[in-house]
Amino acid sequence: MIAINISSSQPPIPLYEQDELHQVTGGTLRPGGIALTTELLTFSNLPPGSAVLDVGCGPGHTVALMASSFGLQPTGLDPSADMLAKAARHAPTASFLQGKATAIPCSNNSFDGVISECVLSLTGDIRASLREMYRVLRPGGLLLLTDIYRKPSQPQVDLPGLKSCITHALPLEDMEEGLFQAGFTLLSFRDRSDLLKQLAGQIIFTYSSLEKFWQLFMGENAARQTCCALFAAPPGYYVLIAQKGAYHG
Amino acid sequence: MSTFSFIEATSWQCAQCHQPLQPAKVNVSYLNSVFNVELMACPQCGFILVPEHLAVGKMLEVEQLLEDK
Repeated sequence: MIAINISSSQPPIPLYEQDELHQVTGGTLRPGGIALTTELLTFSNLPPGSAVLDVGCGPGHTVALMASSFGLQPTGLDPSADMLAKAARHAPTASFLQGKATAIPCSNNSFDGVISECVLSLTGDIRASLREMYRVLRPGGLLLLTDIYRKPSQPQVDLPGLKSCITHALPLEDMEEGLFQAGFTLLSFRDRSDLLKQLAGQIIFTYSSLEKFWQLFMGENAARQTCCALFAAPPGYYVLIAQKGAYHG
Repeated sequence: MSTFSFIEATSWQCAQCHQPLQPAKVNVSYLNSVFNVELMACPQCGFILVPEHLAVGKMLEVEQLLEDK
């Protein structure tokens, strides 16, 4: 997820809510698009009928996929009422809740799986978010996570007026520590930074250049500054599956 | 959607099929990545015209990005 400030007097507008951007990745604005989600759900082997919570469901493409292609019983959670309205149109049989990852409005041990794609960095407190995901999972339940991370020795990208997972990317160690402190066991981890590059390449083919892409949402100088900063410190992207220990409450 | 396209009127035609080229959405595989691009193609055999400004322009940008140059 990415959010930007059109001007300093306005609150950040989530970039992922812009309809034209969904075209780049076939409905989702995240590396790997729906193909990576399909891969992740297939690999998790969650049986049909499993209750799965999508934390930061956005316009509901993953929720719709879980219901239609995997026979799961999905629930979408998002802080944005606009996104939830779109999600309900995409997945009319699914359940939806308005709320934040740091305070999931669900009781303990409610879900067989929790999925959260390109969201964790934006939740403001990844440890609290991971604790909440752990709490709502049943013992033995699976956490399916994808997100951007900051590579070692690279500084945090400083882009005034840009509130995004790019500017909030954290080192992998922070995420791993949060996972273990919450009580999760890491089952599978894969670095998929190649998908981040693929998304950037697709943006070049679709919008002529990365700079022109950013210019859709900010001034020329800010767009140039954004491109330079990201070129100097490109983030990475990971995919992981973790499990709530069978003996943890 | 896209603000940029490689579709353009061209006098090129397919040497094998003798067909004038038409716009087509194609998948370009490059450096282990696949991109969706709109290009001129032969409507019969699907042979694609890669214009020079794509080969030495956009491809270079993408190549620099994919290869960490």
